[in-house]
Amino acid sequence: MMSRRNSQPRIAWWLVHLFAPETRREVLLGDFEEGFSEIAQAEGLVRARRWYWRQTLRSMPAFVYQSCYWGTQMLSNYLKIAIRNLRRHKAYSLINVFGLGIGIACCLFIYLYVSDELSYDTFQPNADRVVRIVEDAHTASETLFQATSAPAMGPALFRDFPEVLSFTRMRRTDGTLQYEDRTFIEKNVVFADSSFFDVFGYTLLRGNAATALVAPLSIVFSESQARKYFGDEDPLGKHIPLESGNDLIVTGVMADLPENTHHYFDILLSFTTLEMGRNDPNDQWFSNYVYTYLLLSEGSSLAALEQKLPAFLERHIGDEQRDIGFSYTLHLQPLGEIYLKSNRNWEPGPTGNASVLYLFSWVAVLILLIAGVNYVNLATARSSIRAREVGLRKVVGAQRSQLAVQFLGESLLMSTLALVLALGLLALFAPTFNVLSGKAFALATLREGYTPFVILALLLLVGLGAGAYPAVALSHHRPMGVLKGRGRSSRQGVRLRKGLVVFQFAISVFLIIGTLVVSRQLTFMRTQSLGFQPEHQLVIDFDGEDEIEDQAEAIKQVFEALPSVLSATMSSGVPGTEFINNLLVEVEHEEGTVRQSNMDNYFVDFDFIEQFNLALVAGRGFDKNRATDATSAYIINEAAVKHFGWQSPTEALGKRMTRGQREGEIIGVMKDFNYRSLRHQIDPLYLTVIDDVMSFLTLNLQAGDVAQAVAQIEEKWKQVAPDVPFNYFFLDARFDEQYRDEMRFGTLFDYFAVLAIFIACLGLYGLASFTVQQRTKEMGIRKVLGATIPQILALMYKEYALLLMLAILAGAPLAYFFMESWLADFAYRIPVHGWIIVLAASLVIVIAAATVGSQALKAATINPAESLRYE
Amino acid sequence: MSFITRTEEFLLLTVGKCGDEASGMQIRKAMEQLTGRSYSIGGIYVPLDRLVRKGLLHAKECGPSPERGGRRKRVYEVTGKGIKALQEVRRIEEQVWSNLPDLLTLRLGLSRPK
Repeated sequence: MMSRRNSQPRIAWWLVHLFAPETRREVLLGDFEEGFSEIAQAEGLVRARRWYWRQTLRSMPAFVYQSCYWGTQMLSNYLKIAIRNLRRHKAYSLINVFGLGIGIACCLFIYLYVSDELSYDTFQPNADRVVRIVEDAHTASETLFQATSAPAMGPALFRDFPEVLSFTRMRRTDGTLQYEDRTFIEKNVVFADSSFFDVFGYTLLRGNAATALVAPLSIVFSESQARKYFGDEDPLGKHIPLESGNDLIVTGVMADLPENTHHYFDILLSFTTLEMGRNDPNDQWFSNYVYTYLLLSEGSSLAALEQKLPAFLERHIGDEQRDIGFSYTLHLQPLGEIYLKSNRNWEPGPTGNASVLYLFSWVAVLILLIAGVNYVNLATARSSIRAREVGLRKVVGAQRSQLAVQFLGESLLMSTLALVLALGLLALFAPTFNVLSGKAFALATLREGYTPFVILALLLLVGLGAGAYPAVALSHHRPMGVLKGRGRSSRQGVRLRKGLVVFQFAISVFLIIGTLVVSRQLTFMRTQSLGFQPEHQLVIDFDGEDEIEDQAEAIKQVFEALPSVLSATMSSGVPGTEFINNLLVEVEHEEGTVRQSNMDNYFVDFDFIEQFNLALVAGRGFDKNRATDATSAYIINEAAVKHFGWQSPTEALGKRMTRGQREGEIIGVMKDFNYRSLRHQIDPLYLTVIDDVMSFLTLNLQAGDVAQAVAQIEEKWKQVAPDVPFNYFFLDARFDEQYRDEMRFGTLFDYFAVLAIFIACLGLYGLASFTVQQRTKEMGIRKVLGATIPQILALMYKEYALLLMLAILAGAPLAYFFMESWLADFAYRIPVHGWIIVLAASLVIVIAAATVGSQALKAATINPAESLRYE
Repeated sequence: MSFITRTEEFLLLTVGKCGDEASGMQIRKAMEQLTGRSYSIGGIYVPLDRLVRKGLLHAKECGPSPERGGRRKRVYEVTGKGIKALQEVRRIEEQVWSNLPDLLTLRLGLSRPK
């Protein structure tokens, strides 16, 4: 017998063993052996073995069918139990689904935001091989970090280095363009080399990319710009007249640029147009007004090329650099890193902020963690309730792994519900979020790119991550103990839950302190006296149109005659905006030595100082009656006095100062005023009267009906300058716009902080109500024995007071250091006051107390007759 | 109302015929002898289990025997509900077969009804 049984085909036996449904394995193996031994006796071993194999293979479909059948039976049972549990414990389920749902929604929003910020310029086909040259420009006294470079550099690099396959320079400009009766001020115009389309992968819809930017006076429009000028007409070959008498000729139409590029433009002009001027830009090594981009060959190293650049400069302009005491260090920036990492002077557009992205990513992780912690906490806290089910399942033969699968499945179900809720929230709040973030997301964005996978990954992460510990903890119950009634959760579980509560509230404390600091800093910046008057100033940007400039005084008088206008001034820039020049000046120093320096400046008229209410600390203002004031007078600020090392403002008076051809002297010193956002220090600044570089007309309005005043002014403007668009803004609004990023950051931070705290409170509420439920009888007995309501309340609160203290101790220092480093970015900033931390701590305590309160009160006021009824 | 299928009818009858010995193996063999239809060892349990779920059969696992390598076997027994279901299909079948018209009876090769 033994030998025959052993001669069963091993592999077939093993297959049956493997595939037969677990519950039938023994019976089936028995059947096989019975049949095998019968046939072996009657017909011999060979036939029996063949029979065994045939039966194994023929049984396979049935095995598979049965496995699936039992699998789905179990699943549907798990699902049934899960849904029953959800419905029986509605409050608990709602807390979890809401917490997780809000958490997932926050995460998705932040993911969309961060991935959009990271996507800048990645659409460029050569993104990994295109670099931008930027320069550190050293004068005797300072180093300027410029995003721009000199126009001679690109061609020279192209000639000298074989790994530079191509280059293109871009010079930004703005101006008025007119086609037939349509006139527009264009702000995003770029002069670009003919190799532009080799370096950048923009597609030309009409025209030839190889030749479009070759000839001087060629112009290429973006699709929407072309439609603006030409409507449905074919733009190719159209002429656009310039004031100089030349015509621009349209040579191409390119697809509109995507939003996510660091260098946005919508009109291209050929760089050769610039070469028509008096100076050949290709020889200019010391004017830095172009952005130079290089296309490197495949596999060439950026670092290696960067190392060759000092020698390159020495070869071309070594002697000149030493002569004029001005030198460069060149750096190369990979295209993909410019938007987030480069923050130099004269960037061609807004740049992102990598540290804000890190911060938000962390917030996303924290919020998800808080929500996940809720789930873990509530699930383990309730483990004693589920213990009987677990015990019973084990008694009827469930394996621990099966139970773990069941609980993981439940958390997956929960997170799926949460995801559905999150998508709903996303759709609901997308418009709000877009306003806050300045992006344009819709629910459809979620279908793009990798996002569906991210959502799926998030679902699994939340479901499995939050479910893992409860699955292990719950499936661990021993049936004997549980069914005897010893189902209380273990001491270890309690400690873990307390730790998690501390963790959640530490995050809450951190976020509250962060929110308070950010909003205080914003208020501080907006209420700080700027040193000039930004209110009631209506600024008309006429973009340096000659017809305005030429009759400046007359136009000013026209507007001053309006009843709503107090005064008018014209200038090259206005304080509080980004319109400012930074030019090289020479200043007489001690004993006649001359020192060069780059200084910010405004070219102004005689009314500028008065209209902006600037205060003088020494000397005098510009005087119409002194002829020399219109040609050679300079007024500097206190920062400039300090910069040049003079002991007092009066010492500066009478010193010689030269800007270009304009030799003159310092006649006055004005008090420092914040002409840029409070992010920046006040730099050395000078004012001088020049009347032919004006760009802005600023009108000081009488307080009153603003809309009516604007209407009057516009009407006048159309009479005075019918060809120049009426393009205006209010100075105070524009100044606040500089804080847009900070305000955005602040508001988003507020929202996320509130949500995080809300989720944490949901969890605390759930936990508290559960504890109360568990201790009802204890409280009943205490009351019977004479405990008062305050005593019981104190008892309940004691449990959480220690946890909150720990949370505050952990969260507050972290927030302190973090916010200190955030504030370090601002030149003018508040300290992280102690009271902010105290306020945040008390807020958390009050919120937590209120959350626990209703439940504690319930425990304290319950009638012992009720709570002890069943004993 | 729905009737049991022919296969189910045969299976139930076979289980009944096997008596106390109605194990999966016995039912397989008997089915093959009686109806010529052969099930694989694994396959026979699929319809049997379905009948158990419908409550027409009762299953129990009983004593190990040496020729099975000391493994238990699964033995089936027709339940009261199973017997009722069998009676039901038989009654209806006879009712439907009875009183056929002459022509049809001849063609089917049956004896004439008296």
